[in-house]
Amino acid sequence: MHGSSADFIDQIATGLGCYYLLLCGMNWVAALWLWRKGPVAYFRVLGFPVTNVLVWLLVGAFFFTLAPFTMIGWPPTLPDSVKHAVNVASGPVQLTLGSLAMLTILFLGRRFFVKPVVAWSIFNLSLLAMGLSMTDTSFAAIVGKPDNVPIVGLVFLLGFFTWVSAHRAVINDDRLRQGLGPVEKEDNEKVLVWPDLVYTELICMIALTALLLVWGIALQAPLEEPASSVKTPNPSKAPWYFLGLQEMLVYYDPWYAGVVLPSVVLLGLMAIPFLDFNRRGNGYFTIEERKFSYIVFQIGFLQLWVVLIVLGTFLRGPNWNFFGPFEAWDPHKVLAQNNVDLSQYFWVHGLGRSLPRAPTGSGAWTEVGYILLRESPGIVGVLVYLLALPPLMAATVFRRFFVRMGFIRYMLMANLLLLMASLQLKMVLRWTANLKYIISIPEYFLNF
Amino acid sequence: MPATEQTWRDTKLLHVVFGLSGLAMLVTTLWMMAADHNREWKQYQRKFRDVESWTTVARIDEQNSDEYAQRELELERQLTAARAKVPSPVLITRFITEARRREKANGYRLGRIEARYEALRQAAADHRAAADGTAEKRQALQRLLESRDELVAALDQVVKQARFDEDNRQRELKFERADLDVARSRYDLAVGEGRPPSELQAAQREVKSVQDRVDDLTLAYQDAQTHRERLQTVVDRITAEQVEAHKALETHQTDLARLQTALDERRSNPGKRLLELPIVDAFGRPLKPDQIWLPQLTINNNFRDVARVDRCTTCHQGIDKTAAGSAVEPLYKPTERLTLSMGTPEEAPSDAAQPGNARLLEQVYGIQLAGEGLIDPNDVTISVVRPRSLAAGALLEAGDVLERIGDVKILDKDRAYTYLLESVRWGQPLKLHVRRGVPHPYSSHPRLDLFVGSMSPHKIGDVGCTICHEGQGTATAFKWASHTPNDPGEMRQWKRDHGWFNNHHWIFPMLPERFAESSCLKCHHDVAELEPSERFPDPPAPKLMAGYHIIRQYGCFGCHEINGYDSPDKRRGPDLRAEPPYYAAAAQLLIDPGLDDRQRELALDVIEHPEQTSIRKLLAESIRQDARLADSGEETPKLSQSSHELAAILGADDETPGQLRKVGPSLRHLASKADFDFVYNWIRDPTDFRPDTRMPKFFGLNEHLAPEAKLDGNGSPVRAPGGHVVMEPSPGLEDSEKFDLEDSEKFEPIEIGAATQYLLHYSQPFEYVDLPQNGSGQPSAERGKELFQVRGCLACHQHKDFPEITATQGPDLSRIGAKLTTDAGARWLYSWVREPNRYHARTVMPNVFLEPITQGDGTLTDPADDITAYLLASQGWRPKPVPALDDANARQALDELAVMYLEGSFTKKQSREYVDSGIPQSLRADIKGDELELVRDDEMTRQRLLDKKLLYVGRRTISRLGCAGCHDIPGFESSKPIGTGLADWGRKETSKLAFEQIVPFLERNPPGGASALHASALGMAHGGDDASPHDGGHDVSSAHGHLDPAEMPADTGFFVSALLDHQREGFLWQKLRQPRSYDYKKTENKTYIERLRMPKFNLDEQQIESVMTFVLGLVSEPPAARYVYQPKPRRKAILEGEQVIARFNCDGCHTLRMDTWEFEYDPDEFADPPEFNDHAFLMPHFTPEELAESAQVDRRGMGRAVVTGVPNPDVQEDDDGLPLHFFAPWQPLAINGKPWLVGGPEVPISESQILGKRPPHGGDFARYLHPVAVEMGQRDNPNVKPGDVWGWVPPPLVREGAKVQTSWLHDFLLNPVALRPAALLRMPKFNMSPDEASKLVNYFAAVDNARYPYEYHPRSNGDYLGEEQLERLGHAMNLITNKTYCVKCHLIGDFIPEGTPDAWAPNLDRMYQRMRPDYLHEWLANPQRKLPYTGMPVNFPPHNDPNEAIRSSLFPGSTREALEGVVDLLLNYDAFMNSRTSIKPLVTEAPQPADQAPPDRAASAGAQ
Repeated sequence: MHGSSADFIDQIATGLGCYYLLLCGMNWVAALWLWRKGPVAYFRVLGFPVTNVLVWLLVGAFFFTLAPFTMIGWPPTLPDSVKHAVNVASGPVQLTLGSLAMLTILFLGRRFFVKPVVAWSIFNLSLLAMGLSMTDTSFAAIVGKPDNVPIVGLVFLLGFFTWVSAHRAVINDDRLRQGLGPVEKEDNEKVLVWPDLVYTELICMIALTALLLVWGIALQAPLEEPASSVKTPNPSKAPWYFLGLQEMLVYYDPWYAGVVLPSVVLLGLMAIPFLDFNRRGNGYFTIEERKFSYIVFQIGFLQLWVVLIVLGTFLRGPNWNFFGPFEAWDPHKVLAQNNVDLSQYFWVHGLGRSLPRAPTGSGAWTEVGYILLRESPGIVGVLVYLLALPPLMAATVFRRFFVRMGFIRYMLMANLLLLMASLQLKMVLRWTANLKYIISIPEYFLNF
Repeated sequence: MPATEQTWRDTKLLHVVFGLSGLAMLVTTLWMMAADHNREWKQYQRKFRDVESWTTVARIDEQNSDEYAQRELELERQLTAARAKVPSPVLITRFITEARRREKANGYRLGRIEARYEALRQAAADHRAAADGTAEKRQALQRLLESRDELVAALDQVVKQARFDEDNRQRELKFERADLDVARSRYDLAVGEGRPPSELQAAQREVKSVQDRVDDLTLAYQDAQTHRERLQTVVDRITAEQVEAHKALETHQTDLARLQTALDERRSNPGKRLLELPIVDAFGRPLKPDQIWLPQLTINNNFRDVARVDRCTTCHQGIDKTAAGSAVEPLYKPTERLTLSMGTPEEAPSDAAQPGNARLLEQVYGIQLAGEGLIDPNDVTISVVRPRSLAAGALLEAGDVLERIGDVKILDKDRAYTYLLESVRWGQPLKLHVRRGVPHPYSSHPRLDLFVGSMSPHKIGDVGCTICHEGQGTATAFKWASHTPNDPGEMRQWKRDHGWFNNHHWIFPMLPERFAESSCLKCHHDVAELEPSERFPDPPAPKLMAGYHIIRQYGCFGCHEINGYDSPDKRRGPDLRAEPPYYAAAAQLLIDPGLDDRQRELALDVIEHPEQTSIRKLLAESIRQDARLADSGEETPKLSQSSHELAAILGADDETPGQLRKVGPSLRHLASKADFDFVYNWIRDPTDFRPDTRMPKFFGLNEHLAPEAKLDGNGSPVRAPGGHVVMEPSPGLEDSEKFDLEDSEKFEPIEIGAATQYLLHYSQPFEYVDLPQNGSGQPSAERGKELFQVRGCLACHQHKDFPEITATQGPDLSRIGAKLTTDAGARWLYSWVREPNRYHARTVMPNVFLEPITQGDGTLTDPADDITAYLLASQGWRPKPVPALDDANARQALDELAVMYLEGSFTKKQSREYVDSGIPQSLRADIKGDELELVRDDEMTRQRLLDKKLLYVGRRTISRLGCAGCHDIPGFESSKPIGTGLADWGRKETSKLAFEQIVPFLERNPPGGASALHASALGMAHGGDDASPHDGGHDVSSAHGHLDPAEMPADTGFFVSALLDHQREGFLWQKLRQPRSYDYKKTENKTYIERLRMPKFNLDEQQIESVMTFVLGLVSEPPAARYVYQPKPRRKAILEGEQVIARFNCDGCHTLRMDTWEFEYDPDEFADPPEFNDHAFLMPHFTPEELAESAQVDRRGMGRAVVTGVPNPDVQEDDDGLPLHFFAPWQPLAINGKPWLVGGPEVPISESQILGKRPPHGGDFARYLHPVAVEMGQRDNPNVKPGDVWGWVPPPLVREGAKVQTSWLHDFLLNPVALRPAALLRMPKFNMSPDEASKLVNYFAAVDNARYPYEYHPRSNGDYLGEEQLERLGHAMNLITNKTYCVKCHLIGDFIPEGTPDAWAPNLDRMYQRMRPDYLHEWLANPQRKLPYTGMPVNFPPHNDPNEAIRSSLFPGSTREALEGVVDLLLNYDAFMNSRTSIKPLVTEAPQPADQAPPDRAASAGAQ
């Protein structure tokens, strides 16, 4: 994306100005709603009495003042240092570990975060950050690409629904603690098909059709280059819903990342009803009553799927290299990838000898033997991970589970959990130790 | 059942939400429909329909003139008159008489006819009686017409009845004939079945009776037919006049009717309007995308070639519209603004007589203003311009928008009326500022003669649009069509108006206007056909051709091969490759002492005729045999190893070898002419010695290493001794940059020196041409100068002494003496001038036959020696000091270079070692190539090692820089082009182009800023206050980090923007401008020898763009065979010939096409030529139509003519004081309905009448030499007239093909003999192959439509010459040998006429070989008709022969017979002369040995 930056600002100025106006309106509507709903909360800041309505009016006014500056071509921007910090924070390790940490914080501090005022503040901040970032050509190019616009929407929607569920769950948890039933149980009378079901469906249908029409007119389908077997697009990206899979391909052999893991994911999802022994928490939002399931879902879906999609959509650039959101996609960026197999680590680095290799001319079985010998550290490691860890866990953290589930169900669950964790582990090992494969048998196209 | 009737959600709220969502749905649906209704192309189509209607209405209005109406009235009057005629009673009687015959049978009511005839006569009488002009008269006429119509109707009724009767009879006859066939077949069957005779008889009777009936019916039918025909004839005669008048009227109305129909079709009507309503129009008609489907012109979508679909015409609806009455003139021209001057009447028109402004306007100026404008309804637009009006005289056209009259802006029609009719100073011309044409996309293609049009070779239905223009043909919106703006300004406007963006994903973006010609190369693989031709005199692709010529002249193909073949029989594009180095290999072979005599002879043959494959192969085979000896080890081979390697080149099988000679001179014998200092200086900077040289600069290109002009204390640049501005690293440079610049400065002198050393060391001995022995006095530079001027040198070379002529085929020789300062240099120059081929076998420099000449005083002078002396005196340059190559620093640099090179083949350690002591001899067998130079000798001194290293580095430098791409260098016979092949560069993946750090480089050295840098370096403005506008007001230093194409000049901006977008155009532009700039900030991590190698050529911006146009067109996408240009044989011959002409610069001397001028004239004032009185066969043939066409005038009443020939340099003044030219036509033409002949009077053309001039092609030297020759001639003989002197200079070759015989011309080209004794210079001998000569011969024949390669002519063949003819020829010989006639000037046989050679004419004894019979015949009849300037008189005039008495005494018979006799004699000269000699007396008997049988049969029999 070249061309002078003045041109670029010209192009986005009006749109971005309208965006700020929208944010302003949004906050003013919120203030109006609060005022109408009442009661208005009063509190003091530095001795001045303030109401929550006034706060959102002021926030709205802040956005309102940004709009004209933006429209005449002086939009507020992020300082370069912040951009740089964000770029660094978007590195793969930082992003994965950071998102894990973030999920933990959100989980632990859920009582704080589910407060509407906090959520609204975070929402406002994220929208402001978005507005500020749009003045960066690289960021605008990635986010504004017609294909990626829905992903941006997806991120916000996902955040919203996660928040809704947590919000409701926290309320229910409080009620349960007080001995009241969940909110959903309060009002569980049957409702009429018409109008409660069909009418709302009809409305959704019409509204969605209208939305699709607007989408179709406003965001034209992007035309890309003709397919060519000799020149593939760089980066070549899968459709957004497969980007998680594509990301896995970076760390695992295709047969594993592309065939085994997805199958395990499907099978694991199918197995959930059979593994789940917790009879509580059906039909209403709760966290306290289903903590384990909640955490596993948060990590499995948000961390291992959604984060990978976001990463694949926004952060993977030419040559499948990582690019920060404020970093130009320069195909000339080169990253060293001197990845080493575990066997190499063990034999060469550890023991200081060459890899065991079958003498030339030896038979097939001898060769297999040598290969097994060569890969023995990895094989042992994997076996220990999958076979020795579950009993160990059963004896310690999962003692209660083991008792309730019985051997088979427990082993199944434990292995599914371990496989899920293996993805993260492998990613971390790759980034930290440049580990290529734990077991590497290229002779039979078998790598793990 | 629900527990309660209460709903879960508030129903009221749901209704509201539903209502809102429904509203949203409605709004979005309407939005969708509106978006469809407002699609770009629909708006264009609506608008274009209006434009077309407007144009049609304007044309209808134009037709609707008074003249037209009067003519129509007249025709109507004639029709009425015809209709009012009373038929003669004779006819009526004849009709009735005939009708009576069958009155009863057919039921005619003849009484009615008689009655009506009576009534008609009565009506006619009444009409005659009525007084003229009264209502009565009109009524009478009406009645008359009615009665006549009634009469005719009655007559017609009778004829109709007669026809009915006739048809009935015919039908009956048909039925009866069918019965006859049945009866006959019955009879035949009966015979076949062997029926008894009785049955047969009965059957036969049946046949007979039917036959009788048929006969009767036939008679009746024929009678009815005749009857009807007679009646019809009478009616036809009665109505004939009326029909005729009616037809005339209809014809008159045809044009208008057609326009009206067209208008009706285009105008919208209620039905159409309904279909065009929003929403309804979403379903198609009448607005719909147009598309052209091209199944054979596929587009490559990578995975598949698919049919091309071009929808461009959806918006570009007017693209193929031609102006009325022309097949090639575009109807809708693109917008332009003109200032016209329109005359006004001497005095104000009298208003009173004229009702309304519009009427008055038409009366005064002959224009009408349209109700609405063409594009903008508010434009004041002219809709009608009447012929021969003031407006027509001002060249106004319908459709012109009046923007300003004088200085007043015209905003509406009222104002226009005011300023045209009221506030006018009568008698003074009005200045009108008009806008003409229409904007895109409504305009028509500007070259409908070449493209799109129905008469063009690229009809739109056949080729579509995108095959030439590229872009996305399937798109129907501006931005998706991948239009490409031509400059940043246009880009900005498109972005604003159409939301344009650069669609990276469409890999075939449209070519910007500046490169539109590139696409021609897809189909025109031979390129030459894109030169202007007879059919397309306006250059079809001037920029592309300029690029093509630059690439050929500058030898780009030496490094960047352009291979036009996928395989030997599959062409993919233009082919520009160097010819195989056969001659070089053979020349290299010659230095091998082991060569035997036969091999040497073969090698010499190969050098001279490399095109002869058999000789070459023989030589290769003989070397291979020797090599096999070496392999077998049985015998020692005679030839060296390197000679053996040459066999591969000589024996190569190349089915489609390259055709181009290397562009640089051979360096094989370099030491024979140049010394070290010169060569060193030349390589360092060729422009220093020769500013306009084509040799590029390889060294000192350090702009990417960020040098700045070194300034002295006063702030002005320091200059090196040679005038160069000294450059130094910028003060703020990083250390690494300084280091890189130091590297350049350290290694470059070593490389130059080493290369020079190599070239001189390996230079092969050269045998100079010796000066003639027989003491031709001292050479004279003064004589040399004159010889240099007249002997043709200036046809190819330039020299500062002769600034009037600037040929560029050969180098500028202004300083040549400074190059050849040594004795050897002088000897070499003499040899070169005498015999160029001796030095360089493949040179295009011809041998100009500088044989010694005897001066008037009897001394013998050697012109070559004189010219040499003159050239050696041409000085003006001194070599700059050459840095020492053997001081300590130089040695160290040399070692470093050698190590760098050696590291390519050896380890670091070995490399160091070998540099210190040479490569051990033991390794000799294992190493190949350049490293052999470093192998240790037996006696290895320090100096010897230094020399060896120099040679090694020199050799590596030469191969690294690719010097052998242009020059023949010993040891580089098998070198290959070093650059990227360009055959498909136009489609090169941009991701494969190394843009490297070009953006930071340009930010540091912005293209505009570069000029500022340059300016400062030249000691001009250096302060920034008055920075040139080109750098956008930025100081160089402050320009960092800012590169905005929009602020640059349009061209630069375009390329910079392309560069920023990583497009090929940008890459190439920068590569040609600053080839090494891609090394910016890359040199830090490269060794010196890895740096970029592309040299900088001496090209200006325009030339660079031309070269780019060519290179970008090399896409290697040949379309289906039928689209690839395949010339017809004659055209092909012309094209091939033009290539040869360009190669040898034939057009430097000879004019190949004359001047062509187009001019207009006032037919009333244009004088007619005198009547010609000539032999009938000489008269040009103009058909009456052609003559009538030539007399046509345009709407201003002016005639036009195009004349081809020679303008007389003697220009006079016409009445207005303007130059008046006289133009000698070389082609007969018709002007103003009268024929003008060649050799007749010259056409007077005033400067103001000239509409266009097309300059002649070729002959610059002849035109330059003419005045020089006149002066020289008049010095000796004051009576010499300029016209006579044309015969002394190289003749124009117009009509050459019709003039000379092909075989003669072929031989003449290969070995030219002296023809015209008077000529100042002879046709030189070119280093041309027989194939090239044939191509030239075919070219000339094809151009003149003459027969080739053979022509049979009975007059000079076979038995034409009988005994009786011999006598006639004898008489003709009398004429020839009579001093009144031929021998007055002509040489014949051994006869030489009196006087000086400059009055002599060619020898006649070989005319029968040279001239084509028809030409000779016409030539003798009237030479001026063929060659207007010739001094040859008309010897055989058709009438009034002044020499009648002499002639008839020599040749009994008429003049015409004498002419034929002389022609026959000249054509059969050898046969005639043979008949006069006898061989018999010369034959002597051989003395016969007595003891032997006759040798023939017996001997051979014995042998068997």
